[in-house]
Amino acid sequence: MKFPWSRLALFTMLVLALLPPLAVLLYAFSTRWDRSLLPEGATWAWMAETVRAPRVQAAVVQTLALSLASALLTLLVGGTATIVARLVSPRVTALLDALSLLPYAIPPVVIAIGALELFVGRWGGWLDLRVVYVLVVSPLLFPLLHKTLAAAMRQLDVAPLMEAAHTLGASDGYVLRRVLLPLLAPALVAGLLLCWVTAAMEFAIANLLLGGSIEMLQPLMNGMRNVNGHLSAALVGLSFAVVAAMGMMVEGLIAWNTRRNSSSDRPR
Amino acid sequence: MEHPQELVVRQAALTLGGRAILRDVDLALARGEVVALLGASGCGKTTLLRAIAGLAALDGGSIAIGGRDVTSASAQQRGVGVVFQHYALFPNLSVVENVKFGLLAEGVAQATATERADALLRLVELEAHRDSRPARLSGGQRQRVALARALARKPSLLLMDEPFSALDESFRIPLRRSFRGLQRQLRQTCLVVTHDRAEAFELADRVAVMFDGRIAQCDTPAALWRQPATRQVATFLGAFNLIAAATAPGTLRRDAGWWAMPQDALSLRGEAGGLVLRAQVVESWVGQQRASVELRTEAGDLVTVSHDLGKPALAAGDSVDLFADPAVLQYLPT
Repeated sequence: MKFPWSRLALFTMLVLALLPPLAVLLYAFSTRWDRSLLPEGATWAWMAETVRAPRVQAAVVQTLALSLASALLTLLVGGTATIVARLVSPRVTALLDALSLLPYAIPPVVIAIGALELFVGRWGGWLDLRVVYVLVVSPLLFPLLHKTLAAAMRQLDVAPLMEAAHTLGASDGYVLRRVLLPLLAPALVAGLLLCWVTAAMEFAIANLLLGGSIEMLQPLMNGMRNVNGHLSAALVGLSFAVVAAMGMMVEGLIAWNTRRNSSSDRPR
Repeated sequence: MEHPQELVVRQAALTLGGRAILRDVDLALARGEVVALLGASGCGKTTLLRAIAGLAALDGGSIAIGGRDVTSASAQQRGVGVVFQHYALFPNLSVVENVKFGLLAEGVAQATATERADALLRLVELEAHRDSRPARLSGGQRQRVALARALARKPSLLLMDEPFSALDESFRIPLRRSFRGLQRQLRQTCLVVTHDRAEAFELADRVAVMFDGRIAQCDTPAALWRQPATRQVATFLGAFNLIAAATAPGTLRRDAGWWAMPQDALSLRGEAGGLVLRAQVVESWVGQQRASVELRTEAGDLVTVSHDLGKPALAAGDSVDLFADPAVLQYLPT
């Protein structure tokens, strides 16, 4: 009998992936976990305290609002750039493809220090830090939206639709409104949610740029770790639940769109 | 001023990636006429259609539609209808919304657009499917939606790019016949791009045979069958036997060129005094009603004759005499 390498690999991956979050969740729901290998007692107290804490509530609201603003800016500017580039010229699309790799090449710490130098240090005080945060985070989200939209447009094969519309006398704006945007709506929403989730989980820039003035969820989590690990773990559990809910929204949306298309487009 | 010519293309030239796709193409369509652009893949026929539609810019030459020079006009400004090879229907819009699309884009009132779209859907017998999405329709139904959509703005010129090629043969023939009926009813000027000879000859008043970016011959189907202009046209049409004039028997011998004759003019039975060619059977292909026999003449020309299936079969290697009436022979210098 052959040794089940594939099962072993799968099991190892599951342990590596699930063990840390499971341990954090156990820590959030245990009365204490510092005297033996296993946690002691089960309690909702840490979770309840975290949910009720005004500091946490403020951080959640700030995080959701600023991350949503960043995602919306990416959608507006990046989404427009991706769609227009695809319609106008393959060269511009290639340029955007290359540009979408840039955020991966520059570490967020470098971006945060650069933003600090520009908007806080050298020319500080003339722009609200929340606006600076949104402007700095938004380009980092561009690859997520660009790749999602580009894949959707490739699948749709928009060039023949545009040509057909042009021969029917339609302007680009009219085709965009009547055909392209409705067809791309699921991809746009999925891209927006992906950007929102990613921005909400951003740490380096939120910590370096906003730390001390506006408290965001990730830096708060990190800060609480040194005060009360159980509360920090409860906050991690809470944010995981929020992210999972947002992820399910994306999945649900895609599944709904697939079902809708397959039911209305079934060939006769 | 009346312009009897609906489309005039003069000296159209287009180069893509250093390769000449169109080389000084001249083409004219009279109002109400159907012309088929016939050629093999890559000969430039679709590029010519795209240039006329305003989807590809010419490097040289001019295009006039309805007497108006549209060479530098955008696709939106040309007022032509186009049926694309794969129809390019808008998948998120219903059949009636697809047909109304062009009308609404040019600012026609919703009620008027709906009325016109419904009338067209009745014409193409698709009123029962007016609210369906394109993906729910069969290939033939989609083709008719694309046709109705292209006709909605009452274009002076309709361009069709391989409109029936995506359909099964059983649908293709009735559909193209019904299109021809509709075209005659509307007196619609039409330029059809196709690689299918039967389709071109059945649909068109004139057929323009294209090779390598040039129109080699543009004529009525009858004239093309009777008098192909060049050896290349005769070969492409696939219904001629060609024998080299340099090795032709007797008075038919010339220094260069070819003698062309319709395939059915060459037979295994004939009268003395006519053209007689000694040939050897190379291969025999059995068709639905007749066999197609490929033979090599003593001079080395490859010719084809039809053979009744009821008669004794010819086998490879058999030697036979082939007969033709010299009156049907046409000399092609090139």
